Amino acid sequence: MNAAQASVHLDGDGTLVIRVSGDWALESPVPAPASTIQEVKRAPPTRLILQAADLGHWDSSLVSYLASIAEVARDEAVTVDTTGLPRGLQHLLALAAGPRRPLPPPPPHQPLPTRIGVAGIDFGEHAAGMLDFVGRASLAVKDVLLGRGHFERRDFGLLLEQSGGSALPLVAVINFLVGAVLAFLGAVQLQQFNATIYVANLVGVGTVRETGALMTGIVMAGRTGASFAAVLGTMTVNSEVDALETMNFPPMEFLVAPRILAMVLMMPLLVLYADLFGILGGYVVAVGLLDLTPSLYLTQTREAMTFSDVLVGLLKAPAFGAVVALAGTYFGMKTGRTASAVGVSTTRAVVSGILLVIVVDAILTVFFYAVKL
Amino acid sequence: MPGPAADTDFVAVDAMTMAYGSFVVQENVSFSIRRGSVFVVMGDSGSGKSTLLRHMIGLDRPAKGDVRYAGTPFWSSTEAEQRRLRRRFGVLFQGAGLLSSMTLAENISLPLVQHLRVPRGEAREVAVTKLELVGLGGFEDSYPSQVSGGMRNRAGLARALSLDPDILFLDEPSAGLDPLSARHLDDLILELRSSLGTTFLVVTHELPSIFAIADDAIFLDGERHRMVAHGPPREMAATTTDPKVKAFLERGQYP
Ligand SMILES: Nc1ncnc2c1ncn2[C@@H]1O[C@H](COP(=O)(O)OP(=O)(O)OP(=O)(O)O)[C@@H](O)[C@H]1O
Ligand SMILES: [Mg+2]
Repeated sequence: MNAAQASVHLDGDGTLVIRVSGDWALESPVPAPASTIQEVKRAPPTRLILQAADLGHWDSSLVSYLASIAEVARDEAVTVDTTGLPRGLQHLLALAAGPRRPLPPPPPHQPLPTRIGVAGIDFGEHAAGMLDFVGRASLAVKDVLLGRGHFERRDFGLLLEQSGGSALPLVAVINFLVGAVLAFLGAVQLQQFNATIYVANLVGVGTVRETGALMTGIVMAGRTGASFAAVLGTMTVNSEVDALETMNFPPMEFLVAPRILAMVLMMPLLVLYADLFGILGGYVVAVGLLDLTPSLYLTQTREAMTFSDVLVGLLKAPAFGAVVALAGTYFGMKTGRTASAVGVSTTRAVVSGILLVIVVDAILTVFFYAVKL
Repeated sequence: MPGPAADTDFVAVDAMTMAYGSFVVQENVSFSIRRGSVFVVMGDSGSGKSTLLRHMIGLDRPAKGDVRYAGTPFWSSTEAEQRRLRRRFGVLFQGAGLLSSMTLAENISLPLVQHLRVPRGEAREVAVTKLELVGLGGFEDSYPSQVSGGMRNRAGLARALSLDPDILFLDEPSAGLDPLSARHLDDLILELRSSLGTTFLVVTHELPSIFAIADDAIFLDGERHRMVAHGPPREMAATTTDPKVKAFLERGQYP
């Protein structure tokens, strides 16, 4: 194989001659057109002649090399003579020379303050869009509850399963471990005061008031919130949402409301289940590592927890379920029309789901403290 | 607005301008469709044919103008009125837009069960008949992902037919079909038009199909962003002075 070569040479009368030779292949190094393009742009020749001499094998690398130079030359109103090239190459260049749409102008470079401002406005619009979505979703949920909405019972069964049953193993493992960690943490501190029995208080109250609901909310944001966003996003991409809308199935009633309802219904059950496993985790550590008897630990746990402790966790649960479902469905419905947009929406749903769960938890914790619950 | 005037202007697009943000796709498009006729929308790829359809069926609000159905303007109507109008539409989306979580039969029976409260068993019977109509008998329990693109398209048409609509909007119904199935589809369209009096708006590139089914047509130009020809395709082919339209239509009529 001979190396691909292009000799560029300017005649006295202003004619630019480019003579290509050698073997041109995509997988081997070939000359780059950039410097010639610069030259043509800087000082347009009167004529451009493209010639082949000793040209061996050639493929798209040569077509694209010549086409990119010829195109610039034509933009500068230079006549291009291709008659010195093989016939096939001439035809391909003629086809490539068809009319092309002017590229949209690149977005103007914005100074940092402007970009911060734009980001701020975008964020504001996001927030407004989300509030609007929450409003419309609430109305749709109301309609569905009053039996006015369109609603597939079979689908709802699947959703309940998705936002409850299938999350059980994960919720159990995570809450068991968090309960165990709480017990360890408490044991180390309380041993200093010979008060290890109060590990039961720490685990029991901590789990039902706080970690049971919080951990379950976070798990559900990563699991079910993500799946809501991915499913609704894919449906948007496939025109399924458009089709529902034209068939008079408002997507809010048909897709969003059942998902919110399913999460709000299932979360309290999941949290109760999570509480059990959290306490179990603490129990295993306390009984296994500290010198506490099982019955003593359980009695202490029962005495430590009040009804209002359990109630606080159970009241947090539907709130967490609602925000996770809202984040998932909102970003799902807002998906652009490409596969990568589905990925973006899913990520956003998970990130905002987790963030919202923690923010709502903080607000509710303060609120319950204020109302002395 | 009864009488023959309403029939010639059964569907009327009035000076509609369609845009995505600041990008104007088509400007000032006007035409009307006679009741019980087949109206074809042609145009180069990316010229805004699907966009026009979306604006007509109420998915995207026009930047300017409106569309009237038997005299009732869609976009200046109340939401309840818009729902009532939509009830008379059947739509086949580009790519079909079937619900992927349901079988073909469930896709078709969904509007029957939900809107008309038809019992499920009966709705399934209807769905099977509609599938047979488009040549998909025996595929009622397949999921959209289990059939080919051309079959999905036909199933989408079957779903569009499920409520016996007055107006059918079809976006490239013969995309991905072999010539025989495409021919069958043309026959079906003509049959529905004459037996049920259905009005059609069909987006298509298939020249044989255009000449076979179209009573009237428009051509949208994607470079100039406007409608450049209007009329029955044969007349359009004979009289147009626009080089693009001429080239487009002549490709199908070899001398
Ligand atoms: N959601 C959107 N946002 C921005 N631009 C869009 C959007 N949808 C379509 N467009 C643009 O509008 C133009 C018309 O698109 P449209 O899908 O209507 O074309 P078409 O005529 O149906 O093409 P085809 O024959 O390929 O289906 C295209 O230039 C496209 O890039
Ligand atoms: Mg289209």
